[in-house]
Amino acid sequence: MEEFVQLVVVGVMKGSLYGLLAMGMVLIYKTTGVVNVAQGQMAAVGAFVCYILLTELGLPIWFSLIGTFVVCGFMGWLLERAFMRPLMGQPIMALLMMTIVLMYFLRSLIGLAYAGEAHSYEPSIFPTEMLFFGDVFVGTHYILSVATVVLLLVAFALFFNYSKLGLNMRATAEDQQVAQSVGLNVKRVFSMSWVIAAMVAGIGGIILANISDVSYQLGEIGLKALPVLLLGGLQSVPGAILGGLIIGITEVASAHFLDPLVGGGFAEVSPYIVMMIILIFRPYGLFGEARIERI
Amino acid sequence: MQPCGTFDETYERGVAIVRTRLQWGLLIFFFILLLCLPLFPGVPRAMLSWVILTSIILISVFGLNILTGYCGQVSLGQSAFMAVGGYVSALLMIHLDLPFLLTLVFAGLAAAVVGLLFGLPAARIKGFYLAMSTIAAQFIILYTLTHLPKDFAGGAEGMAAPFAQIGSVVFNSDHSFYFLVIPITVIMGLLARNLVRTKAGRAFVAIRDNDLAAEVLGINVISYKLLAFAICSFYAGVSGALWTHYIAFIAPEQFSLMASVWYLGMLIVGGMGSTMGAIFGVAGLRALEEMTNRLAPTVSEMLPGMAGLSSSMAILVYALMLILFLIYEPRGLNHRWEVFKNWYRLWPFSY
Repeated sequence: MEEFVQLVVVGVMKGSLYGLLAMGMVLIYKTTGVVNVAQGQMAAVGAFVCYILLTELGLPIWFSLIGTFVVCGFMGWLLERAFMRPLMGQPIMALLMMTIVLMYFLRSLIGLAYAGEAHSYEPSIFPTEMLFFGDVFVGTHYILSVATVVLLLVAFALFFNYSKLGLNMRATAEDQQVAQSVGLNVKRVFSMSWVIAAMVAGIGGIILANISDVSYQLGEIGLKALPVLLLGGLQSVPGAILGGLIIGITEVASAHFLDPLVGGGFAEVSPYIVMMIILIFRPYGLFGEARIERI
Repeated sequence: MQPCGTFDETYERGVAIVRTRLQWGLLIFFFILLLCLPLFPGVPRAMLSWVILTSIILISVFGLNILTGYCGQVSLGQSAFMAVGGYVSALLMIHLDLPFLLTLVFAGLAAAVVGLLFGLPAARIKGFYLAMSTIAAQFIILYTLTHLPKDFAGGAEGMAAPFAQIGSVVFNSDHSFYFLVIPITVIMGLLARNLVRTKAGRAFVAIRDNDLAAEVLGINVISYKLLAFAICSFYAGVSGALWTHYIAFIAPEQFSLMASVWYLGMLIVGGMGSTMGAIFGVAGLRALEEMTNRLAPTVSEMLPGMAGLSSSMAILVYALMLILFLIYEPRGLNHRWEVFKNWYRLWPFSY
């Protein structure tokens, strides 16, 4: 029983990070209709910006966190303005290809200066000691990441229901042309959604880099957010979180039970097996709108 | 488009790929040049190996062009299907001692079966969702290949593969392999070029342009989509097998997701839906890669602070090139080439 609880706890913690990344992707998908595969690399950029500000320049923690958000937001704006907007109106596959290429573009930009070595935050941002509840142990930084996810979820709910920008985004998501014809500035909504998604990615990157290391491979996690996104449904923020938890637990549990049978590393592939199953039986995911065109 | 005053007088001429005497002449000249390349004394080895690898990748991109360019189904798992071909061919040769030409065919067929399997979701989904299922295929196939029994398939470190051999000729050098790979590439290219002019090829184009309309016209959309997946993976399998026997080594990491993305990128740069475009894209991007790799040491000397410059510069240049093409010329180099040809054919009266 305790073994099982431990697995679930670890899974939830891993999953909350996946959920955080998928949340940013949902935000972009909802407004612009593009799945941003580069989200994981955007998180990695956030992690490195924070590393540069905090460790290399030795700035205080609060200042570097705020600085990271500002830089990330600017990066989101720039990516949308420079790379995505010229493709407006192109087939959706061109946009998808662009985000995939952006993923490698950002990765190689990081790689230019930081290939190979792993760094860690100095001073550390979150405490990393373990807490024990009976026989179940929980890392403090994981608790903080779960708390951040919950906080962001509430913030998003409020944002989409009460703020003017949030309402504009929902209107744009509903129907771009109608939104435009009632006088919404759809382009501005697009770039704002990229800015917010990039900031969310930055938060995810900092938490992620705090758990593992600040390394060149950090952004690989972004690909694991794809199964999460599809499981939860492309349009649903709660779906992204729930999908993240399910994928996280699946990953941990499958690694625990199946690794001895297949020779290790099963956590690398189990999310994609889940993704394959979802794609065949329920392509719109758990909470997605069943609007996808069937053949 | 034909210049004014040129008419097709026979049906044969109307369907010919090579239409005029000048084209025949240029083509034959090009092939003679290509086949004589290793015979010139001053040709460096690096250039031969560049041509060989480019041809091998070209075979794979020909296949991808049929699936993505003609049938409109985006695949991000091409390099995994190449891995299947490479492993099947190497394993058949090591464990069963089959001759090379047979393993080459089996490699293609095995990859086609795997491609068919992962193409099955195409019966229900399309577009973005299908692209995601091919990404899943990429990871699942590579995981499986990595975790095959270690003494059987080498595991993550890879394994040595035998050189290709036909009769008593062993293709173990750049010079000899060159004469193996060029004919195979030409045959595969001709097959690809002609395939799209058959019933199946026209069905692919109909599905790409509008699958509902294609179904209404009586095309069995699902079976033709699966056929496209099978053909595409067959090409990938052949290409993977050639690669394996060329470098006499195979490891899962040769066949990454990034490679799959670049193959698709080569198609975009060249122009989707034309064999000529595939050639332009592969040759162009490979030449760019070669130049970047040559320049990298010089540039990293000029910028000593950037540790990862030499490893990341090629990827950066690739990505930038793709971004530029996606934004400014999504129809690819082939479109530019067609525009030029029309201008030249109609000169001086372009109306």
